[in-house]
Amino acid sequence: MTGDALAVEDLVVSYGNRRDPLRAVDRVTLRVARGETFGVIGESGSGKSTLVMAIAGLLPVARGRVRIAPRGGDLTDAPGSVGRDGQVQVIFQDPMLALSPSLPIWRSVAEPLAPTSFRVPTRLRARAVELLRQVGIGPELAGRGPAQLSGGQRQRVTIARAVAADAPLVMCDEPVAALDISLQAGVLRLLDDLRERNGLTYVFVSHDMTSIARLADQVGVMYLGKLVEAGPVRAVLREPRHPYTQALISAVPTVSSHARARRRALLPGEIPDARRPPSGCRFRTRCRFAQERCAVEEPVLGAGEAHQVACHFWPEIR
Amino acid sequence: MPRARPSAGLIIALTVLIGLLLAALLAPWVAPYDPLAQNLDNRLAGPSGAHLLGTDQFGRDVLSRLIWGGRNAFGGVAIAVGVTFVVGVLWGTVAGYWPRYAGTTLMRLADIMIAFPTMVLAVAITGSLGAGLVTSMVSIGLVLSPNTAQLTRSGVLAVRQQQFVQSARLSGVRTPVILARHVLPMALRPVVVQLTIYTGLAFVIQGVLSFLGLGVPKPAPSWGSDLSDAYAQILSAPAQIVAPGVLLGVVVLCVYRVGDALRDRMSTGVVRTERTEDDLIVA
Repeated sequence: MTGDALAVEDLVVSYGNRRDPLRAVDRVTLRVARGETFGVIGESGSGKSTLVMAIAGLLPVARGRVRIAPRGGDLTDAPGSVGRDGQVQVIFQDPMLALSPSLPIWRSVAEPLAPTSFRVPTRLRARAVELLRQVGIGPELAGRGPAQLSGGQRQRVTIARAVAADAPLVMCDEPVAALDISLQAGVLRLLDDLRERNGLTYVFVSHDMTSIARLADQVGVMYLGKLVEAGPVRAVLREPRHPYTQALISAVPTVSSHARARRRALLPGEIPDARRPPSGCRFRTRCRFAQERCAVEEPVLGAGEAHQVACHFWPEIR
Repeated sequence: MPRARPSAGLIIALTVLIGLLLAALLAPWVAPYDPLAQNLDNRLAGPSGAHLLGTDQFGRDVLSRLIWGGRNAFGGVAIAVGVTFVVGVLWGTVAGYWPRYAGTTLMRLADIMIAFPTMVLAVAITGSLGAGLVTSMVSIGLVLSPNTAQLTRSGVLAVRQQQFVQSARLSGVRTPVILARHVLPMALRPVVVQLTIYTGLAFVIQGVLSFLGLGVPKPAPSWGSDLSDAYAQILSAPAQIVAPGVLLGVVVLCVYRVGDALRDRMSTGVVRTERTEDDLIVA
């Protein structure tokens, strides 16, 4: 099967009450091809986690729609349930929080195999242990609680659980941000292997450009609930068009002194209050190139192009 | 993690409680006399070889009455704590897992009940149900249950948003299973500790209700009514009050000692609070 595994259309996710809503995700549209990884980058508060939680059905959609293609099927409107009737799994940032502290890990992994039974059947233990082995956790650890594992092992357990659920679409919400640097590469490699072997499609949220560059095929950049730039990962990371993306990329700390000498695009100030976003272009209050037009007219992502950017002046500021 | 060795105090407390419970259960064999047998020739006697704790105003053996009274005390407290547990945990779980409408209503109800003084409410409920061991202990359970409901609710409320609960929901696990498997094991930790405190409290309240004549009907042996009988004789035989009073005090202290130990054990492995997104450092 070819085609898209996920289509998000005009999605709005709001927090708070109706009188004073906070639009954490504001009219986001994106498509993810089957078997690909769509990276989402942005600062804290940009709405990237909210986006994937809404796709997974953990947060209500205020407007727009989420369409998901089941295995071997075409895009259809996703059911409103949590997990979209088993089609979406989420790998959270901190595996310590994502694993039940009162269960041995094999039970957590076996749970999606028998979601309706009251007790996790012991006959599923062998299957759970096999899934754990696939993510590099030996059978001798299967009876342990999450607190008795290392951070990297824990995240592997949550990955095994996501595999057990056999959902075609997996949301990875900063899956390695809580791990030691030395463990991150292994977990990323595991995620990529599983995607290939099981034909999974990922939406991968991260603020770490390196992991995005390694895993993602396409990437979207979010700022204050809006998608401001999207396109193939190479194009976006090598030739960022939006001033925000440029600032983000130049802010990546590097160890080499050569790179440090390069001039950085400055990103002054804090992200504005999402309840009262700036008029026009939301980034204008922190943009070096902002002009009068930016305050009046909201730039939109150019439809139809591979590399899209929501900026009035991007050809001039490149 | 290695468990700490139980302290001497804990061992003593457990020994006393288990000993008293066994004595109450085995009362027909352990008690030296019939608790109801009167001997009006030997009233208000002090301790002696024949009567280790002396006799009361009807010449009944105090020790035998206390042993038999333990049945009512332990049984009654079990009823009270059982009612508190079942009612309070159900109440709090529903209120915590569906906080919007059900939760608000149920918690306002709890506030109203808590606003009444505990004893006044317990006496009122017992009065309306009719005096007796079971009704008085059920009413004590009901009066204490809104507190348990509040504690359960706050635990459930905190756990239900945890990612391991969300992960279970993502996998299609049904709500009752999620509650039993993921939510309650975490949320009930503080409740277990609270219930040991209520166990001690229930002994006292039961004594008070019996003292007021709302518990076990006389002449059946009961620590509270024995205390009230002794109190009636306080001017003529002040020593009468010692045995039942000390016993009640010791039992409550022992229960609290066990509660302390439970609390220490339960407080490890508490739920961590949720972490926010790591900040992206922007130069």
